[in-house]
Amino acid sequence: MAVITVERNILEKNEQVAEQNRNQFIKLKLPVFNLLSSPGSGKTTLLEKLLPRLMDKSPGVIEGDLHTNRDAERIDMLGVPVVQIVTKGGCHLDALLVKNALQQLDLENIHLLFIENVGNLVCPASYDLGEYKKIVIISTTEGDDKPIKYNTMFSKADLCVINKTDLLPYVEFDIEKAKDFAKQVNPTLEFIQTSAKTGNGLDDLATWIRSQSII
Amino acid sequence: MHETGMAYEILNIVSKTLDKHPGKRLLSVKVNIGQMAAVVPELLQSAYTSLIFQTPLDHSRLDIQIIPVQGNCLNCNKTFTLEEFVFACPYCLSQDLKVTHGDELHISSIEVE
Repeated sequence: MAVITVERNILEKNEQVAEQNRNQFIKLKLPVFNLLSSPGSGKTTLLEKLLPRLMDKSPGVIEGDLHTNRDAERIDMLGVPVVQIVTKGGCHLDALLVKNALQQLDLENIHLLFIENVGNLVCPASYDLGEYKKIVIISTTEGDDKPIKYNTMFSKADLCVINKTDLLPYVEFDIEKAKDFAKQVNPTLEFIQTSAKTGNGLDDLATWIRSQSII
Repeated sequence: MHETGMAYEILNIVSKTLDKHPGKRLLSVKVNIGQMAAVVPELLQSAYTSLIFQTPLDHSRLDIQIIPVQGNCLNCNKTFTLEEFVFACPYCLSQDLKVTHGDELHISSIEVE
């Protein structure tokens, strides 16, 4: 009977491709943001309102969904280069899907990249795509205790966007409670409040994106 | 979450290791799973059992070690387990922490004969 050392990570395949992606982004000096949330928080609408404020940065988008090109079509209407990944059942994007999607983008002429992940607050937290920063989006129509229920996701995020603030008068969502819960699992998490519907907070979000220099 | 896919990857990596040791029979695989990794050990165990069924690796064991979330306080320098992932030092209440363990999805070794 003998013990043989292995010392390898179970997800090493994804980690290796994520590192390749990350190195490519660093070489291109391309900041890449992974947008994460549950379905229906407003990720695509937020992007639709955000991108026009960042056109001088020549943004590009990678969209991830189980089915349809609907989100990519919406981004395409803005004149922003976009690739749709259709997972057909996969509940998260992985580094290889992103690597393949990158080949369909003219990366020399894109200076800001958003990856809109599949709507899911669980699995995407475990699959590094090679991104620079993770942005988790929570909306006021969800529970303000989401951050402690989905602690792995919130602990790994760099920015938390609280969206649909226009609905605050009609819901029980307590912004300060949500922020406190989030800070319990991630003390350095930053927060921006937005309403993609009214445009409130979108300038702040654009400013934050601009401030994220990859150099 | 994704326990079947992970069991598959474990077996992939283990098979590659066994290829380097021909003639050896797998007895067990030791894995470290962090509490923050969102993996249900029972599901990983049953996925492993299903995947090895009626293969040469049948009857091998998956030994899962759960690694608690551990932090080191950069303020008072104490090390502790984080309860429910609440990021605060239980000694001095500082939130200036470094998480040292809890996110592992790691195959440490295999036992063969």
